[in-house]
Amino acid sequence: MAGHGYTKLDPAVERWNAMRENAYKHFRFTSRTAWQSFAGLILFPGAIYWLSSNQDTKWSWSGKLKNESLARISPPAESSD
Amino acid sequence: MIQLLLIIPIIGSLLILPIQENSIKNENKMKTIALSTSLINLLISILLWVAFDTSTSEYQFIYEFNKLSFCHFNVGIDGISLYYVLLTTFITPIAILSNYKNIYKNIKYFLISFLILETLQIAVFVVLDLFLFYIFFESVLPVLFIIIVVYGSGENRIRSALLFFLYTLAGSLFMLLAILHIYSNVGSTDFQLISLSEISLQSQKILWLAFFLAFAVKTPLWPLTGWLYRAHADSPLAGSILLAGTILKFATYGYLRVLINFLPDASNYFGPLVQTIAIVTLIYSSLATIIQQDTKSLIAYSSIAHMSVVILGIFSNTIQGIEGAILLSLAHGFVSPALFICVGGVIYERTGTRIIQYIRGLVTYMPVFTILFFIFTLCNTGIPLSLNFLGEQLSLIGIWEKSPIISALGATGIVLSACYSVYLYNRISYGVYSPHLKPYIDITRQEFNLLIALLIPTIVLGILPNVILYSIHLPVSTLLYY
Repeated sequence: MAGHGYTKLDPAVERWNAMRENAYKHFRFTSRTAWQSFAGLILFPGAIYWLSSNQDTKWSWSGKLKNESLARISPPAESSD
Repeated sequence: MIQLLLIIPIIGSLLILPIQENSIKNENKMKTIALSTSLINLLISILLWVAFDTSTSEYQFIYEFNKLSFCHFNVGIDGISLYYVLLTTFITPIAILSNYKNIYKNIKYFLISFLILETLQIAVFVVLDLFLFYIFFESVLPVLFIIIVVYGSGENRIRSALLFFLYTLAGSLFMLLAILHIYSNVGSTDFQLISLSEISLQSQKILWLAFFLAFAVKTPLWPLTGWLYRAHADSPLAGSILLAGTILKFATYGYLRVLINFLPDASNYFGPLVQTIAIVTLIYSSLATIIQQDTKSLIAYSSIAHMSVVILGIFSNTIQGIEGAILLSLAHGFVSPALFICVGGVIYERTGTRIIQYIRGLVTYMPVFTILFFIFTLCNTGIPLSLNFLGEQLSLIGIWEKSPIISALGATGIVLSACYSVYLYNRISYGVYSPHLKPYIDITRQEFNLLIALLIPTIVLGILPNVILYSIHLPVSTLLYY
């Protein structure tokens, strides 16, 4: 239901918001929008996926002592001979 | 006792049905019945909470319905579903009260819709059968569709309602296929039987993807967020409150009950994918929130950002992460409705607009409102002493255990949420009073009581989270380690 209050509408504000609301209807692929689409849909999510799959369960901070590796699987101890 | 929670709203709607909508006295009678019904339900859920045994992770208050040969189902609650049921019964009277005085046509069907919605929402959280979970998960769609189309505002409300309906339905079809596959393999869709059965990793992966698609639409996660801000913006205030307060929690509950519980190996396998989607959702929705011009759309987009932090916590595979996710989803269920009441109720009722450019300097004539709006804005940002802070921190601590860099990226959401929250608050509260508006009265006693009712649990539980954590610790531990 519409609000019952009073607002003095500004035609410029209405036009601006109508433009923002309907911007998607005028979308077309140009070199700029193509690059933005590629970056937003593929590049950035791809980078995050690469980061998350690389770093997943790799580190563990719990109960670590001084000079102890943060790696979840500790490297084997060096032999003493 | 749980059956009372399901039946009482239906009884309330049957009591309202024969009343004619031909006088103010009858309208008040209908509203009183609806409100009383929802408050009785709240009281029963509080009694359930008091009687709940926190020393076990088993389902409690189990009720078996087998009186009809063709219809047989079990309902029960554990520590996880208890708080979602409490949230539903708490938010429903708030939703009814928020539109108590500003629905003028078809009040009867408005109130009946919300009472039926209450039953359907509670059913989602209490059924112990996967197929029934799917049925009630979907059953809220037609009711909400009607609420948005008939009682919503805006020229595009039909489009918004259709988007909401079709997005969720399309995603849920895959969930139905997955449920049928589980039934053909396990022989039952009972939760306890499914959790005891062994599903191969290969099957788990495919089932996981099917369920995840349905829940990702409901959460919503990128790139399936297109329906939420439209549904919120064009919905009536009570509809927005229910959408933000409880409907989005269906997905959270689904992730915990279905994906983590029944498909744990696949949940672990797809962890990086979920982290990616959650981080991308968080950053993209937060950036989209900053540029919004409609206050309701801004709050709706901020909901998306918060839910993505909840997802990070759920899939962190740690107790603190999952407990944080539950706390954050509950906190979001209090704060988001409060913000919708502020922008979609208080401001919209007085000014008739939600466009930020028209609204400025509200502190001049509405100082009490700006104080409350400020507190809820801070809670939305996740300030200490609020439940949002605890939920967010525990979720990020949980995902830190799995992947510190993802946790660090998730923490950027805190900064971005501060950006859009402070922008919205500052922009509409301070500065020279807008020449587009005339002076308005400050918030009424009813609006004040509604907001305080939402503020108290946010702050009290933010200081004393163990009230919730004691009950959910055992079921969450069982979820992870059993």
